[in-house]
Amino acid sequence: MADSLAEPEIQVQILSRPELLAPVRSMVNALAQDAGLDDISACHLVLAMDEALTNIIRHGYAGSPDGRIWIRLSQLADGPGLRVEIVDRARTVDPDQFRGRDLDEIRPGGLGMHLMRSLVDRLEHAPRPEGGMRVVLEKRPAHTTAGVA
Amino acid sequence: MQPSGPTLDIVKESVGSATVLSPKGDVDMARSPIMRKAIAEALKAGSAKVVLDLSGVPYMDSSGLATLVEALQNCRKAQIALSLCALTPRVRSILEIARLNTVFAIHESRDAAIAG
Amino acid sequence: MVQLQMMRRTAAILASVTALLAGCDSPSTSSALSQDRITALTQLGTSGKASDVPAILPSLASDDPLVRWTAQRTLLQLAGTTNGYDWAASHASREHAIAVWKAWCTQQGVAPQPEEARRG
Repeated sequence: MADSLAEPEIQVQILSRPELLAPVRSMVNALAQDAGLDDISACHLVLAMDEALTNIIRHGYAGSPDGRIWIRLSQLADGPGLRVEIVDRARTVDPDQFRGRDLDEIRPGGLGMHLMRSLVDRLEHAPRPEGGMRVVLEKRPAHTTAGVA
Repeated sequence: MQPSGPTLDIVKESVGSATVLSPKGDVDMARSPIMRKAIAEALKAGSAKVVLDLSGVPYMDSSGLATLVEALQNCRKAQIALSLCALTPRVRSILEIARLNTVFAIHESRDAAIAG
Repeated sequence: MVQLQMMRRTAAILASVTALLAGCDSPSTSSALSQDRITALTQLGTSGKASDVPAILPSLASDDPLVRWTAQRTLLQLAGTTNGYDWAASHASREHAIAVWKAWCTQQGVAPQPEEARRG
């Protein structure tokens, strides 16, 4: 495995198919550790990314297997850590809906958004002018954690 | 020819009054329905206790967590004890962030879960 | 009966991987074919064996980084080694490692697929 990304960034395009999440996770996990994250921190970033992708597949593309999702991976410019940018062309979802639920209420659904916010140092999500959504996740090593903006 | 769908191997064992389910692999959006089905079948078997041995699960997403929560609720309705055991550090971390580590009975080992 | 079913499933997976890998490689914007290839490689990693390695080698040259990553991972699962291949390395480095893999196949007595032999 490379000690660092051979290129400044790596771009991947996948279709909106759940079975593709596992290879994406394993690749991003390896890149995150190469970028200086420990095993648990890398897992957290991967999980946040996974939740974002799941939302796109399930809600944005409403389960259609032919939607396109672009993922751009790059090391942080100002230190160790990894940046994950996800872009789709799915139906636009109002970011204000992404509030997550009160965790004290124990019920099966609604965990994804809370997890995303709790797992990374930076989370941005916004509709794109040309349609679809853009999500940015950043994770730094644990000792440099700054909290979600 | 298209590849077949995602799979999740789940070993099912009867140990005393407990049914022990041991999934092997990631529990994610594609695979959590498989675990959900296995748990539902275990509940129908009428055991007094269901133990989920998660030593073979390196990763779980919110759909996996949702499956666990649903299982807990169904077990409570059926008055069946549900416990988790042998969590990997990653899955333990995920449960803690979701604040579910205090909701489930979690044991370090399978033996402790079966006896507990 | 279970073993026969597993053998049939493995043969089906290998056939689908071979068919998928015989197609033209897609550019960095992945096609549906590329996605099926990734899924097939992932499945081969859990149910394949060393003799399936030749069918995977063309994916090491893919322009799609996710295909290359998955192929590398599958090779590690099947053969226990990457033979120095790094999916994120330069094109020249990857080409060198692919040549190492071809030599590995010869050494292991694992015959390359006919398409693989023609592409050299």
